[in-house]
Amino acid sequence: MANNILEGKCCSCGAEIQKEIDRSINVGLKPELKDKVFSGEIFVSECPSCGTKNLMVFDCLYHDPKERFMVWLVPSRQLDMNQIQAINYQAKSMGEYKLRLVTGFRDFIEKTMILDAGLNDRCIELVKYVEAKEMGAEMGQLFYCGIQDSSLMFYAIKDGKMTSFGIGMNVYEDCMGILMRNEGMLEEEGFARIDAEWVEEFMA
Amino acid sequence: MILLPALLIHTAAGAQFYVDENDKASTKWEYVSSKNFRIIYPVGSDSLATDYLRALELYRPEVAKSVGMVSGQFMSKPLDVILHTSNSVSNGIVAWTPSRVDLYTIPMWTEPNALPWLTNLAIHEGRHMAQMQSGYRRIFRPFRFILGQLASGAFNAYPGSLLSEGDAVVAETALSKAGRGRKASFLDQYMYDMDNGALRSYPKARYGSIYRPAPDNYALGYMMVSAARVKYDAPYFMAEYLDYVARRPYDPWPLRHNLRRISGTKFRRTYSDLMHYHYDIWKEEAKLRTPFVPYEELTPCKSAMSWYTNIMEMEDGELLCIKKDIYNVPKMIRIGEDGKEKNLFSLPSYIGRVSRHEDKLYWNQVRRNPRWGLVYDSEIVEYDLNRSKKRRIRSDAGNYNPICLNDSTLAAVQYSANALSSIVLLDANSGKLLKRYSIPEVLQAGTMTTDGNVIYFTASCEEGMGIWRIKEGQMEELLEPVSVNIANLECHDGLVFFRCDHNGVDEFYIFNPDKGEVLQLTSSRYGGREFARKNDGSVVFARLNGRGTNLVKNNPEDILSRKVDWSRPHSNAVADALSAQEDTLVFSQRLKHLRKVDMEADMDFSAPSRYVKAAHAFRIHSWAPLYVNIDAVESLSFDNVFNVAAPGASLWFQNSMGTLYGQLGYKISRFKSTEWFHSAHINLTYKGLYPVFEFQFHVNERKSKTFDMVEAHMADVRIPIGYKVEDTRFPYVYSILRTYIPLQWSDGLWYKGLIPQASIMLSNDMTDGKICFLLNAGVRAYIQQATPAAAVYPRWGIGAELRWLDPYGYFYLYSYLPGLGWGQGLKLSIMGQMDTGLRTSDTYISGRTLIIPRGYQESPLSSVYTEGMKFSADYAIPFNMGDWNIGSAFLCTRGIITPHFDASLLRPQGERNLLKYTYHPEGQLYSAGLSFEMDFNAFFWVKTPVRFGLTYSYNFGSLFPYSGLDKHSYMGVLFNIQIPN
Repeated sequence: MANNILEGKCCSCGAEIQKEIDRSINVGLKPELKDKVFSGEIFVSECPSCGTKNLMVFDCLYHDPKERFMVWLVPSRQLDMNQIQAINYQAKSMGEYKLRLVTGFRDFIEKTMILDAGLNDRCIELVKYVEAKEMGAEMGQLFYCGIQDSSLMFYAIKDGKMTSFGIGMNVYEDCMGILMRNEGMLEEEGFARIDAEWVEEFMA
Repeated sequence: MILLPALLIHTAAGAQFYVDENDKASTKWEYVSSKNFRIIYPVGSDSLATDYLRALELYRPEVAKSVGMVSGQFMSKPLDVILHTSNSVSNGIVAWTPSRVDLYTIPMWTEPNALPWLTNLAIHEGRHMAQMQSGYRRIFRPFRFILGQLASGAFNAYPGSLLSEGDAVVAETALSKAGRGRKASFLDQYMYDMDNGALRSYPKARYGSIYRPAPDNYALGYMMVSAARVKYDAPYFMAEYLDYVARRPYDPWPLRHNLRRISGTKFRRTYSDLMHYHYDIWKEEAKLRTPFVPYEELTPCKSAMSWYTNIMEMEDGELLCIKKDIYNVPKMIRIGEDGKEKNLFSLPSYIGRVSRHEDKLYWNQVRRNPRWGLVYDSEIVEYDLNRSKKRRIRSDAGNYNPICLNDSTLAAVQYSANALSSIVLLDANSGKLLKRYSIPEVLQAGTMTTDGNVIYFTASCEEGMGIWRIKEGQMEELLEPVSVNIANLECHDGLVFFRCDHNGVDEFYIFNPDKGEVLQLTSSRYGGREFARKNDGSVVFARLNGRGTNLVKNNPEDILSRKVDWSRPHSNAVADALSAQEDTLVFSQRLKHLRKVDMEADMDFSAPSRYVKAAHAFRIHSWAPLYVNIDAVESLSFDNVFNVAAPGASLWFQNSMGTLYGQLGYKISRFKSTEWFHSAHINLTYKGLYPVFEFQFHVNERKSKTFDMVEAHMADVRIPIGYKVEDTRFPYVYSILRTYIPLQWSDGLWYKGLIPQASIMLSNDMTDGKICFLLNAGVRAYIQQATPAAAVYPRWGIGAELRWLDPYGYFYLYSYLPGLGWGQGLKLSIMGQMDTGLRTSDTYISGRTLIIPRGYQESPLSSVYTEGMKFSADYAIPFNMGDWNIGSAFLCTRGIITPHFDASLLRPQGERNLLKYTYHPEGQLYSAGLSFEMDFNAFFWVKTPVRFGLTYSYNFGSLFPYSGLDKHSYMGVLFNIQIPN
């Protein structure tokens, strides 16, 4: 994945937009990119003509050599197996890495934040599932967005509005207990997709 | 392994920062001071304040002699002494951290002592003030600069209550004619125990027992310290002990070392020798008191500890008396000729003497001000035996130990704000003051009796205790005050009967005012705790036994008529030897370090001045080169040790009234291990207004953050992408304000409370431009009976709590009911929690709920189900564990088996599966089990109640398969600790 220029049109005025992007986001080399990923700004491009902020999602690989994890965003779901194998091979040669594959830009942002905070993303998925059940389907999908005052912060999007809320760490600890008692949930091989669908696999 | 440090830190924190209840906020204060003391007192008590200041100054050098230090020796300012004149509880407290003395000036009225209250406090508390200086000496001296008064507070642990109180009783005994060491009833239980081979080992005597209460640490401490001083001719025993621990605070057993030093024998042997030193004297004295009058038992010796007091005979020959035992609140009972007991009504444990007039009983009991815990009133209660009805007789002032002169007039003792006594006549119906007889200032009135016309009353003064009378409006002395204790006054046919320790134990006497003659009527080995003369000429008294007291009778033909030389009371050999020692002690010979100390009493007092509370609001008493989070320490939350202590500094303050106290802190910490932050912390509590306010303010533990939504357009739709979290340039500010009104009503038998509270949390973190805040409000109410010593729950009680913790609503109802067996009780409760939908902000925290049954602690269901109800039943079965001990480290006194049952109804959570657990549309969870706990009076050498045990639950119910638990059985550890006083 070479770094290159992404081209598109402004959804408001139709003007051409060119955005310089990093498809390989190595925060060990470019730590300043971390905040842009966490805030989602990396996927936002301002129209030079009308100033509208446009969403421009592109496939990219987030790599944190210090925390030893990679998150691969493949928005098109068109997976290049050769590419996966190559990256798997490279990751193995570097030692134990957490490798994650995501298809949505929100999942990408969330996943990088979870792993950056040293949290277990499988456990977070369980927490989200549990809380979604508690709060009801109307809350929409939940996304982790940080830790504040010993609480896990999440946001949900409903009717175009974001609502944030905290969940006590006790919930996280309880879900870790579930994980520990279910070894099958801990298996890892290559770039794993740890998301709501992954939780669903264990529901049967 | 975490138990020991947790216990020690928790104990230290709890014990060191002494905070008392408060006087009324509207009280105006003044102060008068000398070089060594500053007396702070309510306006209008000037003469009392001057009297206390004079007494403290006069006794200051005297109480210093044998303890080797003098009050104020190492202190730069006069010690604050606060007089509390609105209290009905006689007490004195010397707090080490912050250093302060609280004197509750109402004279002892429940069992008046021969030593006037002012003198008692001046000597006893004065001795504590001298002991306190040890915390500023030798090894502790540099810590004074590092830790302020925390260092002296830490030193307090060394003498503990045993030695410090024992030594203070020694001082009051040695320096007066009437300290407690000379009072027969103070030590008579030891006499009985040793006579019957039941002397407790040191740990059992030291730590006490629930089922076999031991004499308190005042008595045991006096026994040990006095015998150590006299038997081994070691008048400086306490001085040397305190000096030793100030030099070698690392010695875990300093008492053993110091006793061995003077005795040359091992501790166990020395302890026995000290106790037998008293016993040998008692045995010899008992021989001299023979022959003893034979008695017959009226009531059997009970299997459970019980005590009979306030014995009165009815016209039909039956007896009325108060019975106290370890399983019940005190009760007025009626005892028939056959010894059968009938309960009449319950009483508070803290009341004056009950007197009878025909079919009515009168006594006084105290009533706490609902808000101000140091303000008590004493009211007269009338009980009609025929109608079984109580009536409160209200009056403008506190009345004590009332008697009824006739159908329309009562007499009672009153104490003014200046602690001056008077005897007042009151209208029996309205309580209106009819007449006042002022008692001379040098006298302190005690209890009374009457024949309907003449009032006889006891009073104490510096010479001791005597009997006076008011006849036809004139007051006159009948029995000169001597070094004895007089109580239990009765009047029959113009003769005064009373209990007195004139011959060394409490016996019954008769005084003929016309002849001026005192006759001894009874003679017994241990004396009696209470006496009553029956109309048939016999005498009933409460005789000590191994299980409290039982009632016995001396028949008329056995009653003595032994003439008494009133002016020559019993000479207490140990007490007299202590006094003789004090007379021979000279500062300059032994205590060289006192040479430079100004030992002269300073009688040049300042003029009374207004004490401005605001000017003394922030009195800094302690500090530490470390940030200490006291809240985390006190809550025993050691999950993160960095929450408890961190690099930085702490500074604690408290005003002398105890209404304003708190902590200033400075902490250095790294947030997310990248940047160092210098944060400031304020914890503040203000109790000087009707509502209590608690305030926390923390600034710069990190940068404040903004959580702003990042949005973008896709096609023509604007969509949120994520939150952009940015540190601002401002420090993070986090603040909590909590307010509550702790309303409590108590007459000593029933405790009622109503506590509304609200709090708000604010921080300058911004979410989409809005600040973060969280609201919480609730109210708690309860009414319950006092809990007897050997019971786990009150016999009767009910309580409720309602709370809204944004956004959850929570309720809790509970009740206590009597059980079937001794000390057993049932607690029933129901609690519920629901989402109210009331959200004051977008930010809320979902906490662990309490509606899941016990036994599901390891289940994630506690966080899944946040709405529902739980019903609980606990049946406590306490039993005697025999006071087994492991050395002095542990003493276990009671076991408690509690079968329990919980049932929860939980709100439907949907139909889908979570892993192998299915959400059920409607669910119940149950648990039934048993807890076994042990009550320790000592745990790791710390004398404080600790409850430790195991609990087992069997979990079941329709939701159990979804609980995540592999087994139905749950086993857990229970641990509970109370902060020692």
